Amino acid sequence: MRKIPSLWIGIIGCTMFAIFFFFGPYLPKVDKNVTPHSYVVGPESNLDFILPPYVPNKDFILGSDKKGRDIYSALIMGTRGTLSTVFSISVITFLIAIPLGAAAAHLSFFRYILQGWNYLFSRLPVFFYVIIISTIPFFIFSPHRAVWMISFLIIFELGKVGEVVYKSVKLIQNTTYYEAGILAGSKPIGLWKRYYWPNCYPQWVAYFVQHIGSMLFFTRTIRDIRYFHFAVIIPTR
Amino acid sequence: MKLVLRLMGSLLLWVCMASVLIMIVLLPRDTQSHREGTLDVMSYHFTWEKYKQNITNYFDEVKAEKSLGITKFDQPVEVELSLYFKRSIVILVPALLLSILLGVGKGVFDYRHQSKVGRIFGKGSTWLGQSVPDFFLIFLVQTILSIAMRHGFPRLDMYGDEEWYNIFFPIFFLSMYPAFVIARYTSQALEEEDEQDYIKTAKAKGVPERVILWKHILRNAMPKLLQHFMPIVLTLLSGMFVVEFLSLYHGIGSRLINAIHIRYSIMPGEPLPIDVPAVIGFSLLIMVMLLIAQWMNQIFDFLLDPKRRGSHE
Repeated sequence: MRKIPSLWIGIIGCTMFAIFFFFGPYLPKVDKNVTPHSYVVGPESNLDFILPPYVPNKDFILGSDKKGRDIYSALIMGTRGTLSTVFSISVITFLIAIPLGAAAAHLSFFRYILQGWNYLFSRLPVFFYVIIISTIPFFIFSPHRAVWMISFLIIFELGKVGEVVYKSVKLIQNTTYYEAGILAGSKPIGLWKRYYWPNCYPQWVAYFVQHIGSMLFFTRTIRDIRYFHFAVIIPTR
Repeated sequence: MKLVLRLMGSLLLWVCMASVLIMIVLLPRDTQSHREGTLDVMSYHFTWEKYKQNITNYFDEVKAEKSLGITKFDQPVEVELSLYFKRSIVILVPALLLSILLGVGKGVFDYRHQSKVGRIFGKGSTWLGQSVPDFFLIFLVQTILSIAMRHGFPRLDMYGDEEWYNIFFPIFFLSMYPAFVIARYTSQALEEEDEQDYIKTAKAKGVPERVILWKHILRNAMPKLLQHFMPIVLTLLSGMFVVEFLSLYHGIGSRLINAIHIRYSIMPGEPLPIDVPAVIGFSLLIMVMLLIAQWMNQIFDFLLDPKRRGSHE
């Protein structure tokens, strides 16, 4: 174990994220609500107002943004939201895609579904679909906008992941030891337990982690171009 | 014949997807608002009549004007399309070529340097390059360059598209991530091919390493690499949106985002219009580029198929 530096880097990184995720709000100096400050009173006198953005100082460890929100708190509190969004997207995608891919390797009906799905959604960049879909007013005004966007992402990703699962199962079906298993009279559950799962799960776990990474990347891109905050309705008096 | 059938199949699918896309873009987008106490509440009601009217209006206009429409800048869509297409294609095609060139070169390097030190510079750096997000790389390079310029580095225009050398930054940023991905696929494919019997035979016969690598292994790994062509083109196109956004290069990506009207806030009673002709035009343009990439993929796939080569000879 001592000889694998990347394992140690990974463990340290994951532990950091886990601490931020579970204990984020209780860490010292974290402002749970990430409140914006429109001004801060200076040290000299009461009339010395300092406007944001602030450089890193005692109150704002990593400085603040234009609205006076503490970057350090925003980073830690943001970890929770981002990680749970990304995790739920990947988990749901894989929960649907693994049965679908495995079924496609056995039944041609599911094979056609998977193929059609891929034809429809894997030929254009996912990003492009998302920006076109998110301009539809129905989704902008829906109170469940985030849920809609997440489900669309799952729909767009499903075909890709299903195809990977299908290919790995198909690879095992072509081996001679699999044929021997069939001849010995293994039932589908036994095949799954003894043939597919032990051979495929390392690959699937690796792909799962990679998928989380790409989703993280993707939500970040969308946020960059301000999509998840598309509509804010201004209350007027 | 088989090739032509496949190409036509792609075209047919393309037409279906393009029409679905146009139908989505033409959805009615006007909103209603009413007052609840001190709040204005906006809502949206979909009616088929309005949708139908939208569609017929648009297609009547297209028929009458023989053009895809007039954008909000009072230009026919075709004029804007050709302008932005020229701008984007000069970064997309070189970026694709550069990423293939760099990627294959890096993959071969990784494959040849498998010693302890070689792994750090070879596979280690490939792994690192893949895990660093492209926007981070862009920020990093821009920050370092602007600090360097403050300390006497010649002043370069890093943003926009006015100078002739403005294309180099987007090309570089765009090609980095795909290059590392291609490098990983290449070294993987080379390693898989390495264990084959014909390589052992060639080595036993005393063929020089270099000839084996470039002539035998790489050539036979080509079809395997070609499988990743479309995903690479897709990453390149979605990377285009980010890169153009962050380097202020006004190409197809930033124009499409502009046409979709992204904003922080909406006033009540305001409709949510998008620049329909521009969105349709630029979406179709992106889809045409993808169709061409798909066709290229199919043609190369056909040409490189070893079974076909065998039956000819």
